[in-house]
Amino acid sequence: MDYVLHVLVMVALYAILASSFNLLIGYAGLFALSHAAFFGVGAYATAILAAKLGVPFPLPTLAGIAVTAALGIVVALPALRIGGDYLVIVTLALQVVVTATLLNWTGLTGGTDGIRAIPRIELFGARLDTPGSFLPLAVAVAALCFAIAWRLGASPYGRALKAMRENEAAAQAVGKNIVAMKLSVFAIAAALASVAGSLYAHYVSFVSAENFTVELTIYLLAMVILGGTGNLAGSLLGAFILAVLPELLKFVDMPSDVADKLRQMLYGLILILILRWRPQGLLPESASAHHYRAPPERAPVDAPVEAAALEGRGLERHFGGIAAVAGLDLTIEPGRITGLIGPNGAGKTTAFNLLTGFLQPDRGEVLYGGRSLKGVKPHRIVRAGVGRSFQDLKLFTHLTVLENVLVALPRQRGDYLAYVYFAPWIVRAEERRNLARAMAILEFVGLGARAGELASELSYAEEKLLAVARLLATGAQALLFDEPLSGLAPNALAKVFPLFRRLAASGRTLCIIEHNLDVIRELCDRAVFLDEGRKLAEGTPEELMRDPQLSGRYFK
Amino acid sequence: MSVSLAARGLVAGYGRKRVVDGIDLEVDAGRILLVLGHNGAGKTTLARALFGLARVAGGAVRLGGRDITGRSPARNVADGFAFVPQGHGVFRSLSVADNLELGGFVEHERSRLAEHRERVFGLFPILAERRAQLAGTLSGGQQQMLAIGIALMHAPRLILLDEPSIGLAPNLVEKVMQSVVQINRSLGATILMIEQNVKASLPIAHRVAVLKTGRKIYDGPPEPLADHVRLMELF
Amino acid sequence: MNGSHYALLGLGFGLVFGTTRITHFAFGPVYALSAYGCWFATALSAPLWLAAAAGIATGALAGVLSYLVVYRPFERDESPALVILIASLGLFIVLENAIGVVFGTDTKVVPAPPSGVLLWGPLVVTGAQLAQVAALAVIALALGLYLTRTRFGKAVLAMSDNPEMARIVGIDTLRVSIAAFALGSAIAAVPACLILVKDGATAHMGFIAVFMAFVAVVVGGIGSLRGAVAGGLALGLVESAGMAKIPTEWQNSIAFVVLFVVLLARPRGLFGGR
Repeated sequence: MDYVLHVLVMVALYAILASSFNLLIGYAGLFALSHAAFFGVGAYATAILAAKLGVPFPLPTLAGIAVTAALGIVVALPALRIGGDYLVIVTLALQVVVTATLLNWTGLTGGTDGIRAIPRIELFGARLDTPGSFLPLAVAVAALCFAIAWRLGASPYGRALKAMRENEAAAQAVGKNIVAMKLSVFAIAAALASVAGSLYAHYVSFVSAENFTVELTIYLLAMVILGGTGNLAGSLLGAFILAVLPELLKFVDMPSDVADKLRQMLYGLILILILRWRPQGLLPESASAHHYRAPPERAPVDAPVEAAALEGRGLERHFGGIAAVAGLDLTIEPGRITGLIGPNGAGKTTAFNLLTGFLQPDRGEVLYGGRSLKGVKPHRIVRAGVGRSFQDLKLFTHLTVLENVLVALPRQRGDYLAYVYFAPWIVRAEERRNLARAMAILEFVGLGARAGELASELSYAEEKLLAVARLLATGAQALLFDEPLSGLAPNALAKVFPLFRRLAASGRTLCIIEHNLDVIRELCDRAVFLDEGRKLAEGTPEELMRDPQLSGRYFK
Repeated sequence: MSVSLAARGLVAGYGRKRVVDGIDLEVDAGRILLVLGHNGAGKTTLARALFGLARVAGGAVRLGGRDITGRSPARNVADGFAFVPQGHGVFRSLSVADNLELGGFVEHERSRLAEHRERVFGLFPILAERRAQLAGTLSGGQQQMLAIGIALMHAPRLILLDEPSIGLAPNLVEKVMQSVVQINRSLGATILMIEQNVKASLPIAHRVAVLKTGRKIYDGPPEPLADHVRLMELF
Repeated sequence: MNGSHYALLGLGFGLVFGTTRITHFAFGPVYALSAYGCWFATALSAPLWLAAAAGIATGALAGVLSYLVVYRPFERDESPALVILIASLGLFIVLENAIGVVFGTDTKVVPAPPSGVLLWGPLVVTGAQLAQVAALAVIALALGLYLTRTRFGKAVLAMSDNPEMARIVGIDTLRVSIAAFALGSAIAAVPACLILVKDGATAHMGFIAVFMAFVAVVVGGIGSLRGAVAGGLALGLVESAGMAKIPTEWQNSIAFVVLFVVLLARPRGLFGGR
């Protein structure tokens, strides 16, 4: 019986570890293989403070959280600049360093012997020194940690994390500060793991570096993948299955270290099989907003706004030795649609990048409403009122249509963890309002009926509409569309034209890059012809297209 | 040696998107077909689907009358069908000579390789001068010439080129077009060329097809398209 | 002298990674398996040179099987690179523990052949270390010649340079991938056998091997074989330089520091272009 209780305690600890790991790799898409290190640092912090320095519970736990969170931020720093393979190796390297430190800093950590005789926790007069007595505490703490992780995942912050995972550039384009998000999610995931470590130290009363190795991280990885990345309940399930299943091996008679190895082989095998046959895991990713039947907001989406002119003055930008944009003067006036046309390589997308902060000009200025946008980061520029869409859309494919729009809405206090945890009622009220607004925007573009579908399920035309909706949602009044209608069949175009006209009529500042000259003719009151990074001509579309010199250049 | 290529009702795309939406194309043996269209019209997907690099969702492709739909690139190459992809398809870290040798990878009669190489050098003397140079250090125009040279190394009967003029200065574009004509005449290879640069490519085409949003909207002789206003209408 | 050890590991790993784009974590246990294969042969009273050949063969076979059985199905499904990476982690765990189960957890040793000690100026060089360096030189040279002079070798380089273009000229990428795995594992088997003789073999030796190999490749620049060798040598150099000042146990951490510094300064690695 004691044995079963022990397994349950371990399940509780793994639940904390797996769910916090899921936040990092499943929600944020940050593949950091250092989770066992966070677990170990938390355990050792407790061990050192409690056993060696006699600090009473729960102070060592809190100290552990602080140290591990700091470590988490250190690990996050390389993640700010690099990703993918590089992040894997750096976090793996960190794992190695931590293990080495734990093994070798004998003075502090007891070296290979570890630290023994860690005092048990005493609660309400009872000493928690048996699995049975420890279990309630373990479950309570696990529930608390899980609730913290759950709240984070289900909040607008969690949604922003997923958006960042799907596409960093697009997340910035809708106003998300991805640097802050990466740092904070690392800190929280590390802190949660450290709590588990602290409990572990008090429970087993002994810590040794060999418990906190990369093999453990892979074990946790298997739990998260099995349960389903992006689904915290799945991590619970994965933790349960992978902690209990190998115990069944106990019924087979064999020496314990062989059993141990077979258990590990089992994890590895399950990992490979799951990836092969059901990579999304047992439970699907949870969407954060289900109330897509919310009634749309009454205030119309294309209500008149006071937009300003967006100007680029003397913009220059070089790549290597080539000038992509060489002295560009461009003014986009509010209340009408300006078209940007030109042959391939004319610098149109580069111009957009410069106007929206995705690239900084080598020379020249970008002004919105007379205010300079120099040096402002992309996620801030969108807050200042200038937004852009991408030629390749960059939709958040594993989020629902509704979530794609929701995440783009501006000034969400739910993006800040302080509000998420300490003023949830404010966040809830905001969510309700935002849901109504998001639905209104979706109705405006004609995607209202598809709100609950994943963005990956949309047809080509619907994807284009979603990109427009997402840009609209940012609340930016200057909207720059990069080939928003390319590849759409004429009947789809006919349906979309009125949208753009209404937006222009509302006073917004619109600019579109298009190759399809039908679109330019239909939509644009004014067109600018770009070639070799310079503005060659400006006028009505008819004027430009009738000019033989320009059409000569267009078709080179 | 040349061969014809025909596509009937070709459908191809990525995921749910039908980037190529039921296209019929035909180029007779020994002729040059020019395929025009704006960005996003499906030209590159078309090329990749014809050659076996992109999945064919519907329709058929015939080489010299034989069905080759969805066949792997390796088998196409062995059958004399070469592809010059967009964006300088060369091996940047290898020398010009090695690049050419790799172009002739499927050529089993190694002795013929020398002959093919000489033809390439004849067409592009600059490559002969720089045969030991790393491909990545060549200029854009030279890389494009090398890319074409690679395709010639197994004496193909049909060459598919995807925007060979992209990113090149006008005089180099002219050179590329002239080489294509020479290849067509001396080697007799059938040419299917996808292009954005209408002005340079129109004069060398025997026939032109114009694509728009995945469909073909024009198929016929090049002369009517010389009028740019007409072209603007089509685009 | 550790530099040549890491250089060979980097070369083997880099060959696999550069050609197939697969982050092959199971490279570690395959390396360990080579050492065990070598040991097993000596346990069967084979002479050392034959045992080494057995070790190399074991490694090559294990590497190719890893590819065909585990990685290739994912490749055919066009799974994202991250999925294959996680699968390789799973394979790592399975193989590492399988070795432990089959061979036990004790360190396997092989009686070292008598080797002289050279005095070269202020340096004292053992026969084993000389063998390491010689191995690196010979293998690097042989591989270099093979890759740059033979038809198939050039196909390997081609796939490493531009996999799509390799397909376009008609190269059979499956055969090249198999060759990459076979060669890469065989190359790693050499330092494996040398370590077996010097320190003995344990089931866990694979982890540090693949870790160092990965670091060497990243530092040297992903996609450059010369870089992988340089990266490995650099690692060895930094380790040796630190050997005097820092206690042995910390030396793996030096790798981390080198990695960190290089990535911050030049995110593409020293020779990287990708």
